[in-house]
Amino acid sequence: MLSDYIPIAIFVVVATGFALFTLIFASLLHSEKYNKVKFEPYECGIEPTTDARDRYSIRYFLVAMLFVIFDVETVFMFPWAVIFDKLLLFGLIEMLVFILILVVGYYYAWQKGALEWA
Amino acid sequence: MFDTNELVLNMGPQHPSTHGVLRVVLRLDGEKVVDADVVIGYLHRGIEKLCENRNWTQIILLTDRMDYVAAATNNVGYCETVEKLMSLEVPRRARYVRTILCELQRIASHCLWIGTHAMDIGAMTVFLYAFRERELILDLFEEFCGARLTYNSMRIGGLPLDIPPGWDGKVLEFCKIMSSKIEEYEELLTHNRIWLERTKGIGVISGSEAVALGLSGPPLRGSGVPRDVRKDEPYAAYDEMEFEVPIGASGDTYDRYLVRIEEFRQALRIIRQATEGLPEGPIVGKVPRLIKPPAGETYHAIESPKGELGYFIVSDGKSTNPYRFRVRPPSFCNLQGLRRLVKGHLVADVVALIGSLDVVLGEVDR
Amino acid sequence: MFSWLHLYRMIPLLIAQIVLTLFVFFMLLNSAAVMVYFERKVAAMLQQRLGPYLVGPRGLLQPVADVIKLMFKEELRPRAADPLLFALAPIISAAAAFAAFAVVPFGAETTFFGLLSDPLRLQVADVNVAVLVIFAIASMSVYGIVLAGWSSNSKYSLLGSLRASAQMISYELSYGLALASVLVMANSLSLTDIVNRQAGVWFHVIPRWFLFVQPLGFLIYLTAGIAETNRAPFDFPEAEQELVAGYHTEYSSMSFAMFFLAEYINMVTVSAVATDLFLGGWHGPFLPESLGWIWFLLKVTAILFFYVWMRWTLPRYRYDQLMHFGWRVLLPLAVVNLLATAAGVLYFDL
Repeated sequence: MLSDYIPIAIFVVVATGFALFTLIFASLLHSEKYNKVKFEPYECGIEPTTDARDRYSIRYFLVAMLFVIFDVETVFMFPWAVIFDKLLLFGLIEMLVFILILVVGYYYAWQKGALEWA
Repeated sequence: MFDTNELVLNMGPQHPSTHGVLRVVLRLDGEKVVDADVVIGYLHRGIEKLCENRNWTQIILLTDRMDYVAAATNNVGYCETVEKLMSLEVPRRARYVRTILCELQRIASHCLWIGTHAMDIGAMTVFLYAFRERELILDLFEEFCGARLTYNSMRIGGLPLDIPPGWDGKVLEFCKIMSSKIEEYEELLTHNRIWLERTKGIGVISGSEAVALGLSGPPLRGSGVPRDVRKDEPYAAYDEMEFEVPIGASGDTYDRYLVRIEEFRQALRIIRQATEGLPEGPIVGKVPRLIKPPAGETYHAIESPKGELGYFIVSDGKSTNPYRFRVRPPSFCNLQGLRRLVKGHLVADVVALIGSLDVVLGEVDR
Repeated sequence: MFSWLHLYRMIPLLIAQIVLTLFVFFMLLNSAAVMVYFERKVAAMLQQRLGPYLVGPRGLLQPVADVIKLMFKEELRPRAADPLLFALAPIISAAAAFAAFAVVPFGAETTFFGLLSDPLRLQVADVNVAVLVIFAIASMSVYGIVLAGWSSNSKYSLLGSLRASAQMISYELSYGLALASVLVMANSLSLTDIVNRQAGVWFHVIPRWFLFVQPLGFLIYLTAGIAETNRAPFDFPEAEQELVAGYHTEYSSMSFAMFFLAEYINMVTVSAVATDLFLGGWHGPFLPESLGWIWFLLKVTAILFFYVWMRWTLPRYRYDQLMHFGWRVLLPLAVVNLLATAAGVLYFDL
């Protein structure tokens, strides 16, 4: 039932309101003695020579893709787990087959070096 | 796998784990270090030049400020160099006390090293444990010479003061405490799986390469080269002491760690011997009222906690200050190895490797 | 169906619900403050020092002093930063941290000693798919971190947020699979049901907690939980010795406090969920059901203590080792654990 979720929504609103309130409240309180250097991004006291938003390593994208694939599989496992008491042996075999297929992909990713980091 | 741009990242001078003001410009691919450029000089005070304008006694004070976590060792190194230049005989008791001070200082410096090194790798608690013991050493030094960090604890030809009554007993008491505390550090780190994974195989350097790079001290011995000035060219009273020089096998960060841990024990062994066998006698040799070494030059090295600390001094025989004063600081020479060590490792290893070289920027920049 | 009378009868319950919501909110806020104090005191104990002791009796007001200090701090934003996202990131972090707790039950139904006509669940929202909601909201918190890192336009922040996102999504899998193996046993996605499945004892001694049938699942959950909340030894996104402060390097004043708050609330949430899933929630001996929340608090505190203990004892893993561990050790282990649990349920009728 959707109405069950109303308390969560209230909770989120309260939390967001709280965060906004403290941020605004603090902005009324805090001191403001700005100068140019304070607006430099931190790089250990050296003025940055290059922009931080550069192209970064492809490995992060690989992990993200792997995550998307495997997370979708995990989501499949949730309903299976909940009604496992009705599926019984059929469910177990079904899941074994499912995971077997996953393992093939996992093995492939492993061999391709997608799980390598350094 | 694919070509990506390299990220240029400044690590330091204002960074929590570059041990002061070291700056390393890293070129990163992802988190992998492609190249590193070590930039020094943020703490340069011109100590060597200053020394050339001070008289021979005043210089002792300035040497404190180089390796400020091992000031007594610096003092000993300088005084012995001048003594060598003047061919002075130092009484046996003074040499014994120097040995004790040097080894206490080694433990203090290694305490600082193990604390910061462990903290760089994330084990915060070891830091506080190690500083707890360092505090005891500082207390001993305070009792001996009144200062806790920059001691000015040596005079050319001997010692400024004899040891206070009961001091040797306190030193032995400290040895007893310390030997149990080393076990404590080891329990937290030596067989810790995370620690092993973080240090084993990181920054491997072979013995010949370490020699070629001019490394000395624990980084050199960690690579299996048994070079120790205390054994090879004994100074102070080391020729009368019994101790071993620990060496590593594979030359990685873990071996350098083990070498230093063993040096704790050997230092305690030396302190015990020197304190128990402390001879009676004068503490200053026959030193002329005005120190004015004859014309000539000399190089004298001692084993500081960080490696070979050498002084090269030229005297013109006329003035009351050195004509040329040059230090071979172990930290500076060991830092040479950093670029070679970090290549191909990750950002996290850079801090581990800086820690494993145990550099003090006061000594690097002078 | 709907009548005013019906609504009228519901008013006490409604008020109770609102009071409960606000109560939980402020308790969470408090728990973060208490956690800061607790962590500093425990760390001090482990390190043989005193910890905070100047502000208030035994330093109890230290968190308050910290917040006041932060309030008066200058708010800085790097020139090249994205203003909107930079401001949004801490709010997302904090809101997501709070929201995850909304579905966590922390006590049995109670009428508050007859004050209410209908029993009230000690839970902000009782939804039938609570586990999924937690899973979903926990994934939301990564947004705050990624946006913080990216919008700052600072290299340390960026590296921190890249690490954070890669780490969090890697451990999310094992986290989810550890949850799934509990679901196989409980056959419900509702946390209340899961807790109630753990009532009672085996052989008159061992409580029927899932911990005892799922020790591996519990370990996987805890490990993944530590990684999810970016705590040591997996605190890479903010590894001080490497990335200075990671994704919140550029944040100051209260926006920094929001991240700080979020981290501690996330810890409390992970511990509370672990308690519900594996430690039998509010079930425990000696106390009546209505006082079950005391057991709940004790168990959560125990897990939190474990967290703090870990942080101040262990060195930090290296980033690639963490990924290696997550993908090559924890994930296969979690899958095996899930299948083993299913087989166990099938053949031993656990």
